[in-house]
Amino acid sequence: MRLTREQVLAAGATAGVLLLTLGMVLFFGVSAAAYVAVASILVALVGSVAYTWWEGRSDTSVQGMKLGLLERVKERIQKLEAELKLAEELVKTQHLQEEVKEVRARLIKDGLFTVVFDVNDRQVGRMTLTAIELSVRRAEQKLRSTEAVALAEHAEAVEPRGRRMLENGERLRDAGFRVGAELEELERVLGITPHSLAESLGRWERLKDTYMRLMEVCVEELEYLIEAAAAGGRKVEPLMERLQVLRRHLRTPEAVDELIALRAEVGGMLARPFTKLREQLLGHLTRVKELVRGDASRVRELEERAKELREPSMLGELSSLREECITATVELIEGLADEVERMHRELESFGIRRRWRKPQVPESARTFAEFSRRALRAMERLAEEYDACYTELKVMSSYPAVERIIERKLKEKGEVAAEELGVRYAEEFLQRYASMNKDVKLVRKQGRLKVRRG
Amino acid sequence: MSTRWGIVASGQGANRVGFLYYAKYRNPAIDDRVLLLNTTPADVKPEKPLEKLFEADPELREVYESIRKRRVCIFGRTPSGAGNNWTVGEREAMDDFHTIRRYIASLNLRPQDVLLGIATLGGGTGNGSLPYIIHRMRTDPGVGMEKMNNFLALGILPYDFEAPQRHFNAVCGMSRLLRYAGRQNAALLILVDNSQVERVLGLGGREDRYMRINSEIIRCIHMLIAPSIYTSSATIDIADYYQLPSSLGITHFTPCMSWGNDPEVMGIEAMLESASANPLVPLDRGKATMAYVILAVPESAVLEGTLTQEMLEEEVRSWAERHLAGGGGGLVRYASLVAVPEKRDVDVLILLGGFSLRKLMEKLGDKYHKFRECLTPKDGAIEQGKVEEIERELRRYIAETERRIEALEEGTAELERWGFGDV
Ligand SMILES: Nc1nc2c(ncn2[C@@H]2O[C@H](COP(=O)(O)OP(=O)(O)O)[C@@H](O)[C@H]2O)c(=O)[nH]1
Ligand SMILES: [Mg+2]
Repeated sequence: MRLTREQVLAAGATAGVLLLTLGMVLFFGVSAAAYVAVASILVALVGSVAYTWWEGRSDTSVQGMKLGLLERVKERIQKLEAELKLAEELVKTQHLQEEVKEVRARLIKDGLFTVVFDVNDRQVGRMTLTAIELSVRRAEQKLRSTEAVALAEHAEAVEPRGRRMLENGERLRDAGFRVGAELEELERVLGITPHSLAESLGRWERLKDTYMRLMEVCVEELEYLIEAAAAGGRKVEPLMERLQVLRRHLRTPEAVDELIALRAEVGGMLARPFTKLREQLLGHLTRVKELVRGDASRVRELEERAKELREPSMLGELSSLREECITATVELIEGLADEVERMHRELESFGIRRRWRKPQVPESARTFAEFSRRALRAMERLAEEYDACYTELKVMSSYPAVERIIERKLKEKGEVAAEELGVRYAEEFLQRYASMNKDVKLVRKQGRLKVRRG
Repeated sequence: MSTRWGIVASGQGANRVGFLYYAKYRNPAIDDRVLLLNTTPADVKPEKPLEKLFEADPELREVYESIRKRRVCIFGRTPSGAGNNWTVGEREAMDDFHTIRRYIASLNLRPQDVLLGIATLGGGTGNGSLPYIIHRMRTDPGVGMEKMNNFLALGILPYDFEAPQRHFNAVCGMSRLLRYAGRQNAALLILVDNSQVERVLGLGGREDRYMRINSEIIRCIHMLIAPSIYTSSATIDIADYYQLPSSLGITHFTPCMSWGNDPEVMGIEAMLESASANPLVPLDRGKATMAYVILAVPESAVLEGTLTQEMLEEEVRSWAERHLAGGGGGLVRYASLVAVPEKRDVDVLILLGGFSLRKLMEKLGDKYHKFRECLTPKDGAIEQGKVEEIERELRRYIAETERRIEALEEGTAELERWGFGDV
């Protein structure tokens, strides 16, 4: 016979109290023992109440575990049912949905759920946890295999559709549409392997969204190009109409062909103005680059960007580049003018005053060609003056050193030739020397300085 | 490990030069290794020679204060000033060498490092003490510096107009820096002449004349040190400065400089021409046997390749053929391009060496003899025998220099020695 925990506790407590009472009688007498007996009875009462409460509590926690298991399986079933419905978009799932229904029926039959698939509280309270766990595990096993089948079929169905989207995107990109970012996203999503039906469904949604975004990007681009053509005075209403129709059928397989066709047509309209502006810009920038004194990195950068625009459909970009070019040119002219003025001041400190009027900086012009012509003319004059000042300054600041070389050579041989000096601007140095020393004369043709005789 | 430099400046004029260099060109190669030696009477402040500098730039006083404790050494048993008599300066240095030695040791120089001694050769303190100090350091194992060979000296010659005594001092000082107690002394002696510097700079006699000359001298020192501070394509190793001259026994040099050349205007050839037109002692053109060329150039020019070591070598070669004795480009030649960050112009230093001392002796000789004749054998202060030895050494040195020049000038005779007969 096995004793329950309660029996052992009660026996132990009784024995303890008896022993204690006996001890009291022997040592202290009967009246003390009576107190102890009363106290013991009180302690036993309180103890048993507490014990029952504690036991009840652990009972509720077992019930909680049972319910938790059942709620979980219920959720799982409902989720899978919903996912299977969604998967129907691509694959047949009728038979799989039947399988899930069977699982549900079995659980109801086991008495775990009511007919409306609520947890059957009362029945569950009576069943052991182990029995419930067994049922639930069986149901989950079935659900898992059903989902695995569904996942495999769905993923397989997504694959060719995703590929087609990618192919379409690539065709659009090759036709010139700027869909690089969307293509990358498509590729990325296609590269993901789904590990659950939910993931596969999510992946499919992402693919569709991205593809639609890609198509919309193309439509916007077309709209922009058509407007650019319209701004160039072309008749674009038929194109606009076709685009409106297309907008409503973006999901159809023909949409891609139509986008490409529309783009080709509008591109044809843009080709001539595009080429013309591009050549104008590049020509302008080349010349500016030659005329800049000092840092030409900004011009080079603009030139690079203009060169990179090769598609007539980029007429819009090219036009905004033209505006940047105008601003940059005006700034460069102002900078050059400042520099020339600074050099003039420096030359004045050497006692040299140059006659000079600052050229007009073009503020606005009707056409770019006209702006370019006027700007380059101003720049040419500035650059010329800059070079002259530069040379003069170089000559002035190195003159004391070169003067000594000239003097020495003259003393040695009575004459000195420009190339003997081993300096740049040699003729300017000789010229300056001659103008400051009346006892020598400059033979210009030979580039030679000679001491006058007599 | 890069070379460290230390400077020992002895005497009043040298103190000014050494201190000015330290104040103006602080750099990692020199750090704070500048030692100012002097013999000053107790009632005179040791910074007295520098007062003019402080007046011109009050910040220099702070710089001075920062080194005063460790880097200013007053030596001599009974300092009373050398009174322009170099034998007194020498005697003070001998008697109080352990004080000097203690200060020099605190510079912490290693055997591969360089010590540059500076003295004005017209005076008594620097001129008297520096040759002795160098000699003692090179020969006395007790000093613990005999492993170090790099004792360079910079000697400043008096103005042409100065008194005979100063010229007497100068000849003695030169001789004793070149040779001392029968052996080679400074590994390299760099000579600078006050009057010549003024001629080269086109200065008239003005109040602050020393200031201008000293500025020129410290630029020259800075160029010498530059290869130890900045990167250079073919670094002039410090050993290159003195090793060959030492083994040839010809160790005197003079700087020729040209500053602030615009590399866009001046070709290297023109810069070398400018520099060599400005030697800092009087000398005959075409009578030098050695040349070290240092170009401090904008780092950008080196990076862009507009100035290269090859270009420099080529130009220096043809320059040397025109300017060094014998037309064959001389005996010893180095060229180094030093790339200096953020520099925009080009500075050139040509150290011209082994040149004929004729012009210099023309300058010094007359006044030297005038004073020399007044020295009577009985005169206690300067021993006749010592003076005779000094003269003998210098005479021998000059003769050796001339022999080297002639040998170069007769270059073609060389083939005969190898048995080729008439060529
Ligand atoms: N370059 C230069 N020469 C100086 C300077 N001070 C003095 N001298 C020259 O040095 C000689 C006097 O030597 P000084 O240094 O005063 O004597 P010391 O203190 O006894 O060594 C004279 O020939 C002066 O022309 C100076 O600051 N710069
Ligand atoms: Mg001195």
